[in-house]
Formats: sequence, C-alpha cells, structure tokens
Amino acid sequence: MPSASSILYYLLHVQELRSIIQWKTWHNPVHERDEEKETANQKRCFTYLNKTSRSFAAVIQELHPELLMPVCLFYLILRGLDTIEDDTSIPATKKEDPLRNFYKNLEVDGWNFTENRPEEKDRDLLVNFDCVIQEFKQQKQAYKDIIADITKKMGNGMADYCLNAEFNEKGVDTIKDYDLYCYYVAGLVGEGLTSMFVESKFGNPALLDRPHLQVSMGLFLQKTNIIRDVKEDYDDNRKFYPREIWSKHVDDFGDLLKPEHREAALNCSSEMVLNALDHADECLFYLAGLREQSVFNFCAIPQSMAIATLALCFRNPKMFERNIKITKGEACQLMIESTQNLQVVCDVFKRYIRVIRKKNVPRDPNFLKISIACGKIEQFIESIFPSANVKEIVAKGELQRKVGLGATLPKEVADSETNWETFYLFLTFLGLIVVVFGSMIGVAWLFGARFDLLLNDLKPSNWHKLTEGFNNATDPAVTSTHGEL
Amino acid sequence: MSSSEPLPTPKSLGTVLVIGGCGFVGLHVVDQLLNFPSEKAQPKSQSPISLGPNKGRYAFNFSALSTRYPSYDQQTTKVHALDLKCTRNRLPGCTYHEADITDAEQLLRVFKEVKPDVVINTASPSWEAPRKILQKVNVEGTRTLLEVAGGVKYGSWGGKCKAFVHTSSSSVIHDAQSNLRNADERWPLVIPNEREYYSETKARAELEVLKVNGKDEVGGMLTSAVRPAGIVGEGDMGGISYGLCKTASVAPLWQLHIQLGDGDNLFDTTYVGNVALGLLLVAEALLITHKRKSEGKGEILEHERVDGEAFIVTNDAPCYFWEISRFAYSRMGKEIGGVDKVWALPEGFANVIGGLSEIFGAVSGRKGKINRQTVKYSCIDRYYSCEKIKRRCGYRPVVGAEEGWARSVDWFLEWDRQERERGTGEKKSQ
Repeated sequence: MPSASSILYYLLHVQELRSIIQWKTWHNPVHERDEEKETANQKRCFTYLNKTSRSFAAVIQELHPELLMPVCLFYLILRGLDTIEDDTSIPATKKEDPLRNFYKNLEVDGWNFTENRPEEKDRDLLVNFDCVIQEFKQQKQAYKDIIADITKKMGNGMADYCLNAEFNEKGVDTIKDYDLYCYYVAGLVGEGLTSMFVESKFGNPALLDRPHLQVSMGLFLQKTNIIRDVKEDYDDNRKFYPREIWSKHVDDFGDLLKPEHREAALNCSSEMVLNALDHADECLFYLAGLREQSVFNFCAIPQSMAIATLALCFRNPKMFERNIKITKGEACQLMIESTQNLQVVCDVFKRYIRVIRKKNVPRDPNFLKISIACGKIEQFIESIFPSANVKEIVAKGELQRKVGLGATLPKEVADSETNWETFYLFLTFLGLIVVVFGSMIGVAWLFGARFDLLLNDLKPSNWHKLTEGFNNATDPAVTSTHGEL
Repeated sequence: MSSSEPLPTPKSLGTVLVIGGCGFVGLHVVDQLLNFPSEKAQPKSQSPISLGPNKGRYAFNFSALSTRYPSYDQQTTKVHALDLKCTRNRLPGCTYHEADITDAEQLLRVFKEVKPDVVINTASPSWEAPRKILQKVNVEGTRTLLEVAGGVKYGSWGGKCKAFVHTSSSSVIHDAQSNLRNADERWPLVIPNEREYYSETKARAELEVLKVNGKDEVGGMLTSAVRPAGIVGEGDMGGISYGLCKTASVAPLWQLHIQLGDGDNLFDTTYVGNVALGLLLVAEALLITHKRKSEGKGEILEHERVDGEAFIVTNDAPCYFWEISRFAYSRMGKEIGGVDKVWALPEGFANVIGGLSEIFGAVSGRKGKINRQTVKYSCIDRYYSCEKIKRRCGYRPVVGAEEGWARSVDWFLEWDRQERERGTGEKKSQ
C-alpha cells in the first residue's frame, strides 16, 4: 500500500507517476528468464539474487541467456565475499584467511560459511553457498577463470584493508588511496564484467585495451554511493571520504555532520562530486563499446542512476541529516531512458549536468572546476554525437584547401537548409494558428456557441439564407422598408 | 617528439625574434624563452591575493610557472623582440628592436642585426581596431614580414630563417553568429567574414603564411599557424577577461547578476602561457622538420606534419560563458549569488537592448558596453578541439582554465590598483 505522503507526492508530480506506469506497463525486457527450463538449483540461485540485491537483480535477470547465469553467479560470489568483509563481529585476523582463499572454494562441493553473526543480512547466502558452487562448476571455463581471478584479487584487496589498522581507524587518507579502495570494491567488478562481455562477443574487444574505462564504470558508481551514504557510513563508524578532501573544509571528519559546519560540509560534498564527475565521460565512452542491447541496459541503468544521484546529492544539505535517494518515478524514467541507446543516455547525462550547474554557486571554492567538469562531459558528448553536420563542414573545408578561396563553394546545401528552416517556421506558424483558433472555438463552444447551427447554414442548400442575410444587412433600401417614414 | 613536460635538458631554439614582443602574447613568449624572469623580478607579493570564494582556508597559491613550462638553454637560445614601440613589457635578457612590420626597410635592418633562426609573429591590432589598420597590419604586415624573413624578395640579410610561426586566431573559422561546437582544423576558413572583419584579416594572413611554407620564394622557410581561442592572462588589456574585470570594477552588484540567454553556452579560452607554449612547441617541431629536410631524410608522414599546418590551441576545457563571468566577478571580491539570484534575459530581448544601445551609441557618439554582436558572443557556443596540437606537438594546457582565469583577474586587480594610485597621485600633485 503506498503511503499517504507518496500519494500526495505523485499527485503533485504527475510526470513521475506517468513514468512509473509507463515503465510497469510498457517495459519489454530484451530477454527474460525462462523459468520452465530452469533447474531447481538455478531457481535457488535467483532467489538469493533477489534477496541480496535491490538494484541489480532486475537488470541481471534480463541479460542475454549466454550471460545470465555467469553474471548472476559473479554477483552472488562477490556478495558472499562482501558479507564476510562487512561483518564487524568477526575480528580482522579471523577474516583474512576466508577472504584471501574465497576463490579456492568456488569449486569445493558443499562449501559454506557459517561464522557470520545472525543479524548479518546476507548470512543466508553464505550458509547455503552450495547452490552457487554447484552452478558455478557447470559454467564455461572462460567465465569460471574470469570470476575466480576477480574473486581472488578482490579477496586479497579486502583482506589488506581489514588488516590495515590505520585505514580502519582514520578512514581513507589520500585521493589516491580513495581511488585504490574504490578499485578493489568496484573497479574490479568492471574489469570482470568487461572480460565476460568481450568473451561473449557482446562487447568490443577494444574495451580491454582501455582498462581505465572499465575502472571508471565501477568507480563512478562506487564514489556516488560513498558520497550519498556519508551519514549512514559515519553512523557505522566508516569514513570513506578521503582526508585529503575533507580536511580542506573541516578540521574533524565528524564536523561534516554538524549543522554549524553545514556550509563547509556542502563545499566538501561538492568537491567529492567533482571528483566523481571526472569519470562520467569515460563511462559514456565505455557504453559506446557495448554491442548487445541487454548488456547495454545492464551497464547503462546503474550509470544513469548514478548521475541522477550525484545531481541529487550535489550541495544538498539533507544528505548530512538523513539518507536520500532518487524517487521511484525518477528511477522509472531513468530506466526507460537507459534501455534505448547511447544517445538517449547522453541526453540523461546532459540533463543532470544542468541540474548540477543550477545548484553550483560562485562562493563554492570549486565553482569553476565543477563548471569545467560539466563542460568537459558536454564536449565529450558533442564529440560522439556532433550536433552539426560535420561531414558537410569538412567537405567544404577540403574543397577550400584544394580549390582555393577564389572558387565558389557549393551554396545549395546551405540554401536548401535555410529553405527547410523557413518551411518549418511556416509549419509552426500554421500549427499555432490552428491551435489558437481551435481553442477559441472550443472556449466559445464551452460558453454555448451553437456551431451546429452555423454548420447547418453553411450547407449549400441553405446558401440562399446567407445571401439573404447579406443583402438584408447591406441594402439600405431593404433596411429602409423597416424604417419609420 | 617534443613534449611539454619540463625536460631535464633545457631546450634550444637558436636565435628567436619575437614580433610584437612587447604585446600581450609576445611578452609571454619572451618570458617563457628566458625561463620566466618575470617571476624572479617580482618576488611573491607581500600579501598573497585571496579573494572571493578562495579566501581563508581556501586560498590557493599558484606554483611557479618556471617549474612547469619547458625551460630553455640560455647559452644557445638568444631572444630578441621587435615591436612598434618597446617602452612597455620589457624583460631583462631580451634585446629589443623598434620597427614597423609594414615597412620592409625597417624590418630588413632588424633582421640584418638579429639574424634569427626562428621568427614568432605575435603582432596584431586589437579586434576593435579600424578596418584599415586590421588590413594593413594583419594582412600586409604579415606578408611583408614573410618576404623579409624569407630573404629572397628583399635580398639576403645574411642569414637564414628556418621556422616562421604565426599567431592566428581560432575565430578564423567562425562566422561570428552560428554555434561552433568542438570545431577543429578541418573546418573551412570564413572569408569574407561580414560580421567580424578582424577574423577575416586573420584568416587572410594565415593563408599568406601557410601558402609559402617551404617555398623557394621564402628560401625554403617552414611556416605554421597557431590559432588561440580567447586569450586570458596577466597583461590582457583588451580581451575577454579584461572586459569582464573592467565591468565588475565599475558595475553595481545587481548588474553583475544579469545573464543574457539561457547560460548553457560553452566558450573556449586559453591561458596566455599556454598560447606561448603552443607557439614554441610548433617552432621546435618546425626546426626538427627543417633539419630533417636539409639532411635529405624522407618526407614526414601527413598525419605527423607540422609545417604548412594550422593548429587550434585552447585550455582544452570549454567553460560556460556566464559561469566564467561569475567566477571572475567573485574572484574580484564581489558577492555573486547562485543561479536563483541570476536575472536571465532571453536572447531575443537582449538583442533588442543591444540594438537600442547601438542606436543610442550612434546618436550620442559614445560606444556602449553592449551591442548586438556582444549579445551574440555571450549567447552562442564557441568551443574547439585542440587534439591536433596535442597529438602532433605534444601540447598540453600546463596552466588549467581555472588558474589561468584567476591569474588574469589577480593581475587586473593589481594593475587597477596601480592605475588608481597613479590617478590619485597625479591629483595630489596638481
């Protein structure tokens, strides 16, 4: 049952309500799970997927059948790893071994992990990890190798962070450390997924030659979450904002959440947003390398959500008071737009860049840097989807260089363009007239004008009436007959 | 290839003659060639400027330019400057020569004395100069300069100029009215340019320069053109940053909150030091090509060529025009609000005001700040791609857009303060 407040919200934001309805009614997944053909064990895996993931479950289940199971398992395995790392009831020294050796257990029948505290939310997954192992063993060797490799790297990275006393006490220190941390928890995922996309031929192999692109995909999502969750993380005694950034704005990390330091906290958050925005153009570039619709959707949806979340968090004081997230209507709108093509996703990015710019204030020490970061993204989009007819311009330039200035350049193209412009202008004008007249007639009708009578009069059989009236009105002789002489 | 990274071994360009060496761009070329005497001359100002949003804990200090731009071997690089008048912007270590570039005789005298290996032409009148002057200096001056440097038409001056780098303008491919987005060197030159005669003369001059590349008529001298976009920096006395600073120094606060158009238009600017870097990197590449040619080595690949080519140079960071303005205003210490405090006039409306202001100006004989062309420039996209010079010459914007603007604004404040002091000083003495 929707709450009263959300009903009120959507009454005031009908556009968002429309997006929800549209998404729910018209969304056709490119691929769907064929539950009839699934084994009981596969179904178990999907149950855990739905239990452990809020945002990824849906997009994973719409993936191409070739990637459906491998990506689902990849997610569950990393989620398992994460559940060990997250559990604060297990001492770091006890975590090290299971984290570092997690990848070795992926093909050990019946392996599970039962040492999580009962309240750990994804404990169940690890207790019943046999279903993941059983399924993993049946995957193609190439996918198994990719998953195991990433699990190994991530497990080692997590173990290093768990043992790093300074990290646990003081949080992330430099921006470089911040990038490295995000690389371990998210960049690696991008690396694994990209290898799988290329393996399945759904991704351009050139993506593997530009590793920074896939890393950016992960970092952009991770950094957005870190920015948004500042309060939640702080309450859990975790500090992911790097000291190198926050120390420019406050003396103590905790000050970020104190109302008296709100302005400094906002400046700090905008520097964090600036840092994340740096990855945005590379994310778009990466998306251009995907060749299959379901894979594109899988990658594009989280990115669109991330840019929208960044825009929401940007200079938003509420972020330091409570959890904030984009509304369901906005999320549905984003999903509609992220399941089409790159150009639509680019438009989404442009829209949120504008939102960010609208909130950017000159008193912010990073005002111009943020502005420039936004401009950089727009320039990048322009470079992949030029708004002008570049071919034509270049041809003109070519000709000019070859023939020289004296020669007359072909003018027809430009002229025909102007002609079209005039035509459209005319068309718009005509449309406007129709609308204005239509509404005038409509209003007249609402007020009781009897157009039926007029139409009736206009029938050829009734023309004599009109001419009569005309004559009546204009012929002074006729009028005079009524006069009193 | 050359690189903009400060190299362990300083570079050498031989004898360099900087035409317009006392002007805005010329000064910075000379400064860079001499490893920044300007920074040694003025030790860090007594009170570091910390204005606008960058005050208190946010105050940022610029690191020295000399540690970031390439350095030149002072034993083998000789720097000469030529200008109409050499009274201002003089730097120790450079030899100054006064001459008019439209006068071949005068030029020849200087060339005989200097015997340059490299000529860097930065001379240009202001874009607002009368048409006659623009034509004379930009087109005829450049031609005369090429002819003299070539050492053929006016006879030998006792040496051989190997490289000629010309400062063009990114506006040569802009019709001064349409949106220009991510434009690159493939775009055609706009000749004639009805709305901006300055750009037309720059385009014609560029043609003159590139046409003679490697030709016998200039003794095989190699030529290139560099097209900077919206130059800003210390010493700007007529460009966009000067205009904005001047406005902010006299306009009331509410006026600084006016915006023409929707404010979404992107605009390219270039820090003057980056322009100088671009010119010098191109010169270096030309010398390498010249050496290669004279040694009879194979032709350079078309996609690596520098001679006979034009190169757009920018900060590689297009900025929203109105956000740049607000940054400049607030760095000047003005309390500028966010977008909610901005009063955005639709472009059409602004255009009407511009037109009225023009009429008023024509009637009263006073030129207003706003006209239809300035309205246009502040509402359209005008940004470029500088990939070509990055790829072929190893250029990168060493000083970023933000620092470049901050340097420009800070310089204006200091200059304005000195002007005011001089003004009050004169009054007192009267």
